[in-house]
Formats: sequence, C-alpha cells, structure tokens
Amino acid sequence: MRASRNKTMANEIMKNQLISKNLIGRPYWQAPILAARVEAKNCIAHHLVAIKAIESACNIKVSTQTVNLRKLLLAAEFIKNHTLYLYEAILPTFLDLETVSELAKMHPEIYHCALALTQFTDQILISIGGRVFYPITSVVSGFKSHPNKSELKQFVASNENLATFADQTLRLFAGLKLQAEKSKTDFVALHQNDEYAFYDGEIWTSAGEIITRDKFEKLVKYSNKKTFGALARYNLSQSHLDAHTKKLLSELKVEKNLSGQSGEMLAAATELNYFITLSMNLLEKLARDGVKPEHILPPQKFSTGSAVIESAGGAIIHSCELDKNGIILKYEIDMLNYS
Amino acid sequence: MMEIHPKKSLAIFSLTSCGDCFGVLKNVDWGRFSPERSVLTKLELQNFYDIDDLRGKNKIEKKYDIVIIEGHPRGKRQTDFAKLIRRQAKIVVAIGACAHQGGVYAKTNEPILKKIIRVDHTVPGCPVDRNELSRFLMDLFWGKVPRLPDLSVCFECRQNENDCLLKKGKLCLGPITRGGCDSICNNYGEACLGCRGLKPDANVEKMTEILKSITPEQDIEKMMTIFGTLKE
Repeated sequence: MRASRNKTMANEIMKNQLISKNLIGRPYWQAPILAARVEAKNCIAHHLVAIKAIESACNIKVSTQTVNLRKLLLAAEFIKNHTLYLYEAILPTFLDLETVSELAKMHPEIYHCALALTQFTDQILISIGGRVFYPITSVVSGFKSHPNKSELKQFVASNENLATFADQTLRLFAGLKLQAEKSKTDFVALHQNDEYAFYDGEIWTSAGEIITRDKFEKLVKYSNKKTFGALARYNLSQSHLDAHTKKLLSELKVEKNLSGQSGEMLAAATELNYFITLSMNLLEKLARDGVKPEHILPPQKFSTGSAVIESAGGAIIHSCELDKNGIILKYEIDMLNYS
Repeated sequence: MMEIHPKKSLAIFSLTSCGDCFGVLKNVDWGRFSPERSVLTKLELQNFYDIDDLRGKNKIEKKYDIVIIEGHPRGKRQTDFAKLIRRQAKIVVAIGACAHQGGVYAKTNEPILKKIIRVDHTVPGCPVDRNELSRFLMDLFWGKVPRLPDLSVCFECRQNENDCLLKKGKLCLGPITRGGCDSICNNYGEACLGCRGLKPDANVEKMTEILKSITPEQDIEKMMTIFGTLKE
C-alpha cells in the first residue's frame, strides 16, 4: 500500500509541476482551466482553489451567493468521490464480488442507492458548472451563467429522498464488521471555528499546530507520516457536523476517534450524510431566494496570492505571482492527497 | 441465418493525463453511462493500464483488436511504450486532447502521440464526450470507419443562436475548431478554447489576423496552446 501510494504521489507531483510550468507566461484567467486538469476526480477542488488564489492575488471579494454556488459544486464532488470509494472500491470486496455490475445483479437495492447519489451529483455539476468535469460557468470573480429558480425548485423536489440514501449508506457501512485498527497518527485538514471546513479555513494538525504555506510544502514531502482526507476532517471537525448526522452517528454508536481503513470508510460515509444535507439546504435556499445574475468585473490590481481548499482526499494549496498585467510569473500546486 | 459478430478485444492505456478519459471507461459498470454499457456487450475490455502499471514494463503480452490511448507520452519511457502498444494493436484510438494534440501536459517541442506512432482514429476534446466515444467504438466493432464532424464550433454556435464573442471584440477560436461539442462552452457565454483541435482546412493565418485586432500576438499564441499544439 505504501509503495503504491508513493508511486501515485510521485506521479501527482510530476503532473503538478508540469501544469505549474505550463501556466508561466499565461494570463491569470487560464489558471483555473489548466489547474482543473491536474486530476479529473478532484477537478472542481483544483479549479476552485486556482480561482481563489487568483482572487487573493487581485484582492477580489466575491458574494455570498458565489461562495454558496462554489460550495455546492465542491460538495457534489465530495459526494461523488465518497460514493465511488465506498460502493466501488470497498463494498464489492467486502461482499466477495468482482465488479459493480455484479453488485447491481446481486444487491440491486444497494446499487440503486449508489446510483441515485451519483446521479444527483452529476445533476448539480451540470446545472451549476455546465458539465460534469471541468466547469465552464465558474470563473474568477463569480459565475457566467446561473440556474434559474424554477429549475432549482424542480431539482429540490425531485431529490427529496436523497437524505434517505445517504442515511442508508452510513447504516450499511457502520454495520460492516471491519477490524478496528488503533494507530497513532497526526491528522491534517482544514479547520474553521464555526463550520465543517472544506471550502475555506486554516490547515490544522491534531497536535494543534497551524500549518502555514511554507510548512505545507515540507508536509507534502513527508506526507506518509500523516493522515488526511475524510478521516482527518472527521477527527478534527466532527463537532461541526449537522444535527441529523450527529444523531445518526450516536444511534449507530460510531466512535468519536476513528482510525485505519475502517475509520476512513466510516468517515467517508459520515461526510456523505453531511454533504447531502448541506447541498439540499443550499439548494432550497437558492430555490427560495432565486439566483441573481452578477456582473463579472475584471481584476484591476495584480500581485501575489494563495488559497487552500479540501478535496475528498486531502488539502490542496495553490499559490501564484502575477505581473502588473495579470500574466502569471510563478505558480505552485501542493497537495496532500493521493488517488 | 444472421451472422454473429464475435466480441473484439479492447485494452486501454493511460499515459500522462488527468485520468478523466480513462475514468470514463473504467467506470463503465455504472448504469448511468448507458452508451458505454452497450459498447461493452460488443467489446471485451481485457486490460487497462495507467502509468503506475507501466513502470518497469518492457513488453505487452497480448495483442488486441482495439487499443485506446489517453494522455500525452512524456519522456523516453512513455514514448517507447507507445511504440510497444502500436506493435500489439490492430487499431489505435487516441482519445482526449492530451493524446490528440499534447494537451495541458505537453512541453513545447515535445512530440505528440501521432508523431511517435501511427494513430488510426482520434476522439478529441477535453473532456471527451462520452456519447461520441461510444459511437466511435460501436462503429469500429461493426467495421465502419468512424467519422468526426467537419464543421466548426462556430457553425454550431450560430445554430444555437449565441451572441458572437468575436463580434464583441472577445477572443474565441470557434471558427477554426472542429465541431461536435454543440458549442458547449459558448452556450454558457465562454469562448471556445480549441480543445477539439483544428477543423479540416482551418485557416489559422486568417484567424490570427482577426485576433490581432483584439489582442497582442503573444496572447493569441497563449490561447492557441492551452490544450497543446493547435497545429496539425
């Protein structure tokens, strides 16, 4: 496992460096387009953190509506990645099956639960971002196109039962008897004081250290001594989960301190619940209030900036330096995740 | 009596890429990708390799009817491996902008896949359109020659009644880019960035002249190379 993780990390670092070098000399607006292509499964996370880094360099503040739309996109990616992880990577092995097709034949109700979750994420990504991979509508300073009120209302109405599927997922995986592994590890993830951090925040460790940009680079080098992703976020921020998810965790007697593969699985299933609840709340709010078209203002000043975000697999930082015309002089991508 | 066509063998190789094109086919079990599922009744997916699997490999044991390559061949190892793949494949299909024209991972002056090996067919785009890929593979199964549209994105954009960005003094590569995406980016108010490559007989010099009235020449070069080289 460690050898394959190191190989995958080496590939990811190589691709990050290629894209970073490719960005030099390009105008700022190309950063989110190329950066999204670092890895398809986390394209939304890379796309959004590139946008945030450019906005940081240009001192741009976006509206609450824009932040909510971005959180919806990112939450959809989390839900999709966790669903694929749980139902494609974990469950077939547990049930002694080879493929998802076999899962569909032997356990159609489980398969349909997973299918509903992935279909929901695809709908959000298309409705808000324009397509499933590499969003089109999302740019520096906001969104070029928005879903209308009636579309959103219809979307909410057609996904009323989604919470049930997320619920069933946590119950299913909490019921799997994986041997609990107690291991001492330092968890590293985004943290905020008032919400379950995934779009913004500071990088914290479970030892209580706040990780700055410079320390993050070193952390990436020695990342095999740390734990990140859903397990880290769960252990650092579970007090900020929504009431329904907390109640379910209590009912299922899920431990407050999770570790190992069994912990990773439960943390992913827990986050599935949290992000479904969050998505539905955001969609209901947008459907109720309507989405107001916002004019995209081009940046006026250019400097240096950086931003951080969580992907399903762990934290990502993008940093940039722009010249006075908005041309990229330097670009760096650091990530604490692996496929 | 109706002739039964035997399944054709299929392998997928993923070189330096984001993994999207590879992911499309690897996740084909999921019912939501129904076009791809029908493809799998005709093509037997016998193997898929990503660049981790290729490390240390200097031969491919089997021969395949159809091989799909995604990603750009970076460096000597992947270049040599592309040549190895060619020897073991009856038909090679390059999918996505990286395999087609270098994509976002190509360094300047680094040879793209079709300069290293003979590529029989290409499914362009970033990302690849799943329906287009499925149609391609089904055509190959039935022994048909798959065809890409010859029209430009500009044509599709006008059919979709979008406002012309060039007329508004904004950059767009729609007139020289191969259509088939239904001008998806333009439909959302964004410019065409040429991810599907040049359309046949594209007049790049004329396009450059038009764009010079909108932006400095070095910016035109930067726009035309977002997805690798826009020179075929």
